Amino acid sequence: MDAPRELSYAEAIAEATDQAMQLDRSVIVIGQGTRDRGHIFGTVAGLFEKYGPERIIEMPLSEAAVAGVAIGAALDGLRPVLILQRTDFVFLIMDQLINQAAKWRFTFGGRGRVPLTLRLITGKGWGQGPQHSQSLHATFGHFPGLRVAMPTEPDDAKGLLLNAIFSDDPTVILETRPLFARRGEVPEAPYTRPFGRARILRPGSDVTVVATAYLLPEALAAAASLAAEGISAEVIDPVSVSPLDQAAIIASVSRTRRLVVADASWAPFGFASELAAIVGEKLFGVLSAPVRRVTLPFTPAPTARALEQAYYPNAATVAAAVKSVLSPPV
Amino acid sequence: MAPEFLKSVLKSAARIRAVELAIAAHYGEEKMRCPTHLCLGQEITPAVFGALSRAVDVFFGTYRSHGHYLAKGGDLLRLFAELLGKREGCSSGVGGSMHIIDQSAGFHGTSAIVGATVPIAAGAALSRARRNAPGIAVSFFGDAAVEEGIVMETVNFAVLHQLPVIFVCENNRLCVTTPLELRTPNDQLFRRFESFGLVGERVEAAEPLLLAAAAERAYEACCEFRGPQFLEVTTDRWATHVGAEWSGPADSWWQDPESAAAARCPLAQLARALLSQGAVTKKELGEWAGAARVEAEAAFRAASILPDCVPDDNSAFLYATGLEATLPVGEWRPRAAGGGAEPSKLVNPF
Repeated sequence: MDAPRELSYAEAIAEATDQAMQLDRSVIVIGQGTRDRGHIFGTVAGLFEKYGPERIIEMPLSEAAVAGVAIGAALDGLRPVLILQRTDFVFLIMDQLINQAAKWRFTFGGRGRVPLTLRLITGKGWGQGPQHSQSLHATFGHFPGLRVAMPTEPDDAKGLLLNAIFSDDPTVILETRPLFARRGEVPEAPYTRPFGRARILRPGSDVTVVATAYLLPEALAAAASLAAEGISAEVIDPVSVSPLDQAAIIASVSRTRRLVVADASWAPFGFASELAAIVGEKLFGVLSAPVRRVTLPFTPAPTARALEQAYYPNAATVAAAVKSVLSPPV
Repeated sequence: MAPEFLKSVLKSAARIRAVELAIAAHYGEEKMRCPTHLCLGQEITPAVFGALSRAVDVFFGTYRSHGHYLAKGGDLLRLFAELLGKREGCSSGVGGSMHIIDQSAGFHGTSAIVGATVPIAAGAALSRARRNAPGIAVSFFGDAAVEEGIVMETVNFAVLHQLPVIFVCENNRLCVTTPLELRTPNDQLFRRFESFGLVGERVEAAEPLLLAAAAERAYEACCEFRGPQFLEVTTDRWATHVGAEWSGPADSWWQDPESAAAARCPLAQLARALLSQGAVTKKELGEWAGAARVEAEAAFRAASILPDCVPDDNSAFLYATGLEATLPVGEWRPRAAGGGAEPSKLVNPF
């Protein structure tokens, strides 16, 4: 009965939050800027007017304590959604997130539930600079006890946020600000999308490209231009970082025998390296070329426009990497 | 205060002391193989709050929280089992002494990180406030926690939102072995809480009647006004920071409460007060102490013969939900009909 309907990524997040709050009175939102006219990039638009200060809690700038408060509220029966407008501020809450939330249930032998959702927003471009732009998915994926996702499609953004809110475990949703205006078909009725499931956004047969965050649309653009040259690239959105859908990636690389990982973070000990390790372990004899990682240069992000443009990989970088694995140097 | 209440406090504190002494006595056997922080000398504070609290209240403690656990009604056998690495431990052997819990008693956990459970306790209080649910949260922490920024941040939040939580600072003037004067220019810790509008009291553990009265005021105010309270208790720690060494009149509190040696022992001081009121006899005190010792020894022996942990149990403890949660069944309306504004179309470049 629902006609296809398009929403932006930001609208999908706002709709998911609104529906969660309608469905369950224990859902609360805590963040900085919840009443600001920017509405945290539109992702909480209308919620304060609808649910008031009891459920839309404007936080003092005490990230660590507020994270602890959210954990305690979660342990006692609420379902808090804590929003940090800049992922980089998460370093201020790492004890609460990693030592407390992620380990709580395990530490007590399976006692206690921490249904905490942490929304982190990663910026890119417009001079966001070194402390407003970091994508820390590899950091969160490193620790047992968290569920971690970084959706790029609006429908995944809605379904994973609803899943995170109603999961009884601490979850981290990494959002990419340059994707907030990205539009896509989003079902209106509430639904969930699972952790641990990747998504093939473009099927292909010559090479597998796994891309994260802002590099996902860049990889799709690269695949389109490569197609014009007769190269068929399969583009996979991992969607979930922890757990990672290893089976989907292995199945794809088994067919294409080549893997390029385009990851919006640094290479050392990172997401791209993890995929290279998995493929190296599971498909050693199958690969026709070394795994290629497209990652950020190993410096913090610079601010000046000219520096920024040179810093971030793009569709052309991804396309060049794809070509390099199709004709490896002998 | 009613003699019956004070007697229940003394019995509870005596039980905690007997348990800690039993741990100290057996620690050298190396069957309890985890860092263990004894509260010898500090038992009276948890005993007072345990006696005041109701089942619906929740306690959060620290790595030094055997006393808070027991005072709230935590299971003794399961505490020993936890220390001994047994499957039936209160945390199934995963946590050890620093991570103990008994949800059925309202004791909701501890952490090895100083100050970490203070905001978590405040969060439980936020939940009670938002759900209009009964009960308050009590957060126990030491003097070093006051040096952690997160604790001061939490106090600000709790006052701002008027959360039903009691902050109890047990000030033993020691951070591991570093004395308070090397850590702060102002040792009047309660003054810092006052600056957030949280006016509390500072009392000595060695004056247990004053402590019990102050704790009762804090407890009743928290329950009645549903707002945060603060109490600083200056206390002695007779045990080393970690491990089983201790000194002080720990094992003789009931024998001669009038003696000079007993002046710093909160249990002896409470015993002395009850004796002078005629509320107890020395014989009764000796019986309580003996019964506590016998109970602790028997529980320790019973825990010792429980089955050990099984290594492959562990991964099941990690997550409560599978990869996909179930949405609650409920009404929802489209956003346009729900009264909320549409998300802003503005793209704010900053």
